[in-house]
Amino acid sequence: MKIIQFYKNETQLIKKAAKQHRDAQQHLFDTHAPKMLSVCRQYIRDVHFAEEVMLSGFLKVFINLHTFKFEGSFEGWIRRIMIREAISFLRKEKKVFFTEDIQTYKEASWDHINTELEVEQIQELIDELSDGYRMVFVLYAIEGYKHQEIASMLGITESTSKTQLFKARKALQHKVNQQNNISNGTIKI
Amino acid sequence: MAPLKFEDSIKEKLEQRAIKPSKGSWEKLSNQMDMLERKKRNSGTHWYVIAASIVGVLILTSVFFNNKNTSDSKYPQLVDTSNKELEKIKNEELLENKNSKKIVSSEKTEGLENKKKKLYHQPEVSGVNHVVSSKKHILFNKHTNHELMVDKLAVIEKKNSVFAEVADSLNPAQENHETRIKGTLISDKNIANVVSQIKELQKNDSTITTNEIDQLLLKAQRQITARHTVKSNTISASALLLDVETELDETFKNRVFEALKSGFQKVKTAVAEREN
Repeated sequence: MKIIQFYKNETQLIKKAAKQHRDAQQHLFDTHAPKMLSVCRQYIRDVHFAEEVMLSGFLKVFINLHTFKFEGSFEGWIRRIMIREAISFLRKEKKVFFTEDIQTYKEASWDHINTELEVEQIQELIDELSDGYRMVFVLYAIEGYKHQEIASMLGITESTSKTQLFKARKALQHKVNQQNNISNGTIKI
Repeated sequence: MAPLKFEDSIKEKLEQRAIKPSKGSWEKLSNQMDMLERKKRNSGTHWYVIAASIVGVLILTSVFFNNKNTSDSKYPQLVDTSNKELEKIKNEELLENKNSKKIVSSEKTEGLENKKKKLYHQPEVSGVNHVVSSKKHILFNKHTNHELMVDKLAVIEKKNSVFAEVADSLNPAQENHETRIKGTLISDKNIANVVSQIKELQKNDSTITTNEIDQLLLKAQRQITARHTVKSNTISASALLLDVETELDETFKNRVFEALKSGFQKVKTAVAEREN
């Protein structure tokens, strides 16, 4: 309790952590680690690998903490580091392919889709997507990045990012439909 | 709009989610940070060591080059000027010889008594000054000539030393040969001088004591040794010490002799006065 009271002010806490105060660093870690692990888990299927990525991300956070300007939110700053770390992990582990075949997809109707899915179910659906689709979908739909930003982050063109998102949405719609049919007891073959 | 709604609901649910990391995750992270800090410290010390070694090498090289420069400056290249110096030295020697001839000729005009007195009473100095002082006794009337001679001899001495250094650095064999020739010339001159002086004494005074001849010979010998020491490049410390010792002994002898002489004179006068 004493520690929590002492580090009420986050700015003070960050400044102390930047000076390599272990207790301050631990407090920051304990505060932000669960959310950051969730972020990493959105990109990486295996939770253990996701945790490793999160730890390496926090290592970078504490090393570069002195560069934090207190201009935006601290959580947003850590989140960006985590996302970049996760992307670089996926790139290191296996080559991510981004297919550029532009096809005309018909907009699927989302009207009948049950949006009342549990978090674990949503995560399972996202995990079933390929790495390329998943990255673009999470970056665009969940993190709120623009296609231009995604393109620069992943080293692809904007059109590729758009195609990837379209395909990811299509695949996700298909999977959600499948799941709804299973839950309703009507399976289409 | 439907996909947007669906995506918004996904976003909300995923943002609210929190996955608790494993128990040892913080320890793992803190260990990694400690390792990094150690590495940083080590790398820092490595840089210090590298910087120190570079500085050390620079200092050593600078010292080495400075020494080289000073060693080079010890032996200046006087190749072009050496010939001029030699010519100057030769001219100076010629002048000296002329002066010595003048001195000898002037001796004819002076009385033998004066010479003897001056020879006995004036103290002697070592080296080249010894030669000058011996001549000084004889030439008490020509002070101006004597002063000029002293200056010239000093100049010759300096130039001889410079010449010896340069010649030694250029060709030691040649230098030795030259000094030998010069030495023989000097000794011949001195012998001739002594003989001429004895002849003059014989002409002027019919009775020449052996003491006078010995004095002249000793003087000539000293002149030769002095010249040798000046001309020769290598001056042995033992020889110099011996010279000084002999001079000291001599003066001591003279002092004792003088003391005895004065005492004897006093006693003699006292006895004579008593008898009277």
